[in-house]
Amino acid sequence: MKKLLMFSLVFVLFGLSAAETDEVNKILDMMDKVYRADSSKFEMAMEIVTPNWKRTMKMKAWSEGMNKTFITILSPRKDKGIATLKVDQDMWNFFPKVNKVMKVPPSMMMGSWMGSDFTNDDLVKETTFRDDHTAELLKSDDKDVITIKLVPKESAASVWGKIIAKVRKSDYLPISQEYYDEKGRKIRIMKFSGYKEMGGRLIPAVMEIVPLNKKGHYTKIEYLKGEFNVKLKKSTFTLRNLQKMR
Amino acid sequence: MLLKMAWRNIFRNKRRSFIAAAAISLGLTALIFVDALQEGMIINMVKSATSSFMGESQIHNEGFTNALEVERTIKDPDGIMKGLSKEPLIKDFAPRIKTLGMITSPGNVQSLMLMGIDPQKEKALSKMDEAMIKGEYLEDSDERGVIIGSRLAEILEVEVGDRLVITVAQANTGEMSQEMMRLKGIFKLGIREMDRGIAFIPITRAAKMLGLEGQIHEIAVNFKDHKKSWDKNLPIWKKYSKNGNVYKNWMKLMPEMEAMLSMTAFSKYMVGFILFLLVAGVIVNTLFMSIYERMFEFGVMRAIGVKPFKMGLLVVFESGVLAFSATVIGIITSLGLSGIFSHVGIDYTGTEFVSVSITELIYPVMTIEQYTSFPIALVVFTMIVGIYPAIHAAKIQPADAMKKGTK
Amino acid sequence: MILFKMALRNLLKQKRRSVFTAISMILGFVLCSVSMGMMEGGFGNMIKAFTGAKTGHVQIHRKGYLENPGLYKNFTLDGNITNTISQIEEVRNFSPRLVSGSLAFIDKKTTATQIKGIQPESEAALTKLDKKVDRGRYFSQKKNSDSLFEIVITNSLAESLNADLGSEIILISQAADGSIANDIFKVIGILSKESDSLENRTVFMSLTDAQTFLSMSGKVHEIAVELNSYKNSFTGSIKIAKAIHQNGIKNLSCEPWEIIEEQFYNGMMAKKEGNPIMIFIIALIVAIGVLNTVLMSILDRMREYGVMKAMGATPWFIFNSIVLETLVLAFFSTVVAVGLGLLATWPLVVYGITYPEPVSIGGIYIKTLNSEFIPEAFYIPALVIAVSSFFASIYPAFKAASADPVKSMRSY
Repeated sequence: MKKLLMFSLVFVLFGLSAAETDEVNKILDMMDKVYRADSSKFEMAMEIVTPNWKRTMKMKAWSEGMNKTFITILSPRKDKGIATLKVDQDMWNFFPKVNKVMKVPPSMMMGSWMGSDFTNDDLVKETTFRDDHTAELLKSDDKDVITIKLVPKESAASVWGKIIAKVRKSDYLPISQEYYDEKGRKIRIMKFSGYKEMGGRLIPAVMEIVPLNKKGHYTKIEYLKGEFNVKLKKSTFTLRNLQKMR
Repeated sequence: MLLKMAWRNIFRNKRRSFIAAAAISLGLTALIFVDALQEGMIINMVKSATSSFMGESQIHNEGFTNALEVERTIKDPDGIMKGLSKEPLIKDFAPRIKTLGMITSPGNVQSLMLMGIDPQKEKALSKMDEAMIKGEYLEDSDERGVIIGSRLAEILEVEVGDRLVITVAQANTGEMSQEMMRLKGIFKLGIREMDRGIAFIPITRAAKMLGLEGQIHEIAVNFKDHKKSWDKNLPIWKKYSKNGNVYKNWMKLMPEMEAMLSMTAFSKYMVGFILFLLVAGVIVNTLFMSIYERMFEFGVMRAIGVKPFKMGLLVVFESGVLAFSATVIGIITSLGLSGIFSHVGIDYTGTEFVSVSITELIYPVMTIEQYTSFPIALVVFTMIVGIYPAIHAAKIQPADAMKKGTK
Repeated sequence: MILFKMALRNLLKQKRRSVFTAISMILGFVLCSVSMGMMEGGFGNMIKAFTGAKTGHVQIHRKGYLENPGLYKNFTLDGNITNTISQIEEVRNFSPRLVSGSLAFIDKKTTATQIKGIQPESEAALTKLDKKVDRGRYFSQKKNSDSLFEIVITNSLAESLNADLGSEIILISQAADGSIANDIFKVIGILSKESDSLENRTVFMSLTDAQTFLSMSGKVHEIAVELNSYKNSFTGSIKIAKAIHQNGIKNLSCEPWEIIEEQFYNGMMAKKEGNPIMIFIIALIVAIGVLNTVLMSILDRMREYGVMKAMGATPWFIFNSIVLETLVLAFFSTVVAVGLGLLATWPLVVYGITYPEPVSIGGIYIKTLNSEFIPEAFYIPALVIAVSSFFASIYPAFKAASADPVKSMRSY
């Protein structure tokens, strides 16, 4: 009897944790693929604020899976036609004014992509929440919110000590992600809002990044319109396409 | 006979001879020692510049130094290193990989030069291990260890033990390769560019990140005798400059150093020249004085019947003998002085300016020239100096001299 | 008083001995003084060459730029600043600069470079950049007909990119408004190989072009200032900083070259520490020379002193008269020596000694080693002469004062 109890207890616990793991995995998956699917096409606006300047850009972006991304700038006029292509670990930029396709060397990845608070690193990133982090559910005050603590695995190429992510209980859509360094200092915050239907899915249309160690910096991306799982031409993610998209 | 007289004369008036001899021997010692010191300083300058990290000479693929293209690796590195280990002239060598990349911390991003080094070999060749101010130096077994300069650590706002991500572009494909590392130690070389822009990891790790297994960009080489690295005509330069590799010594690697050197060498000659004038002046003065003081004595000798020519010769011989004995003493003193210091070294750098990149001790350099040409020149010079008063002594009228001598 | 008169008379009476002794003092002084001046000149040469080739004597930056340079650590270049600076009397020249990193491309080749935006005339006056151009030409006044921006590049850059005169180079960098600066530039001049040591892989363009390219109109990162002498760097920088502050310009700091080129300065200082040893050795030789002659002249007059003693002079009197005699001689010798020293140093300062081969530092050729007038080169030798004469005279003075008159009168 006792043994059975023990066994069932273990089983239940195991089952519970399995269920939990399942749920966690789903959440992590969602966090990785918020704006992605097998393929997608979007038009978005990016607002960048720094102590030195303020800019708003309009861009069009295509993506396929996790590894292929193509972004071209629509406005301001000065930057129209500048494009970025990422395939797996490689990244290229195209500058129409000088008609130059340039492979981005690591040393030139000086922080920001086009001046925003996203780093080229963010776009190149090899790590995913799901595969490269260990996750732990935390107690949440809000019953509509699930809080997860993510710690990068030792072998992961990540500088963070931990990431506290909050997602909506109903659909696992991300609400916020707080990035901490290993000393426990909060370094940056990503906030998601403006949930609406777009291209057949519910997504947070507004994403904001606030770096806490740099005063006066702020980046906001707003998804204006887009579609998921569109048919994309094979040539979309090629260098030739970089140059053509004017 | 005259020589015997000359010899005896000198010892007769011990005090006078001693003073004159002292001038000569001390003068010689000064000339030799200053020359040795200056040589030592010049060498110290070069050693300081090369020993903190660069090395006395380096081997590269000939196209590498221009643009640091990752693919331009050294041809047949194993063969070269095997050869180097057998070279009798070579003391140490260290293989390195160099490439531009990016380093990220939670606080910041910075572009930098990533260098893969062999920690043990590097310890022998450069001063990296001595330059550590926090944490520890690298070891071969360090899987994820990286050491960076103090300024870089400040910019990245990291401390020993913190996470850092290093991104580089792989050879041939240009694909981005990222690795997570932990800061093992922080160094301070005192050279701003190095403290701000370089990170070191074990070379095997760097090779893996770049897809350059078994290949290297640079071999830094030090000689057993530092002076050999100055010799442009050593066959060893050509020996390792084949197959698209080049072997350069520090002169070619740091052309501005050569300029500083020629200026310093020139001032060495200037100082040597001035010193020689000084010593010569002292010798002339002393000699003249001692000879003029003895005019009475010479008068007596002439009165006895010594011929003018012989008189003159005697004076010259006296100068010669004096110079010779003084020179011998001078040589012994210099040998002692230079000998001691060339082993022990002279430490005079004020503590303010010392950093790891400056070598503190100066070792005076003893050269054959110092002990042959200098003494010979001095003896000859002294004898020539003795000619003028010798002529005077030869010409004097005994009566006059004996009268004057009582002054 | 009697002592003094006696000393003077004695000196004049035995002209030969006095002259010899004086000669050793004068010679020692002059050579010591000249060598000190030369050593200082040697250092001065190197510093002048180095600062003249690149840094200037003082630099003005936005606070914090030196420790951590960045595109945004810039300041406005306007009439206010330029007026303030030019009004300071020690300032001879100044040249504003804009500095940024960028990637340079020609066809498939690419490399990281530095962009330096400069005012062509000011920069040429300050660092003789125009003279460093080896192929092609420097920036000219007239507007070029081509629509492309003109650049002058270093030899090392030309080699890494396989570029030549007329090559079109694409530069890509981060502009100050966040956008990506990208444009095509034409190479009109390439610097000589010697300049590579100081300016590695740099692209020079006019200040206005750089400001346009990087969307930074009116801004600069640094102003390099040339003063009337590199020695005024600290006082000069303080003066400039004060004047700037008084004119309401905030947030700028002014640093002397010693701080900007810290490593070079440290190396120089460490080398300079070797000087005292050299000077000491020279002083030693001088002292020995003086000692020799003083000793000889005094010891040879033992007989004389014996007579004086026999006549009733006290030992103290004899002692003093000997010492005084020597010091008086030293005094007159020093006076003469100072005059000769100035005479000897002057042509060395003005004309210098020509190097067997001109030495190049960063593309600037130095042809002569010039001496410098420094007070140390005069008061230290004077001190050496005085001290060594004094100590040289003590032993013989003592001997003469204490000797037995009878014995003295018998000796020669």
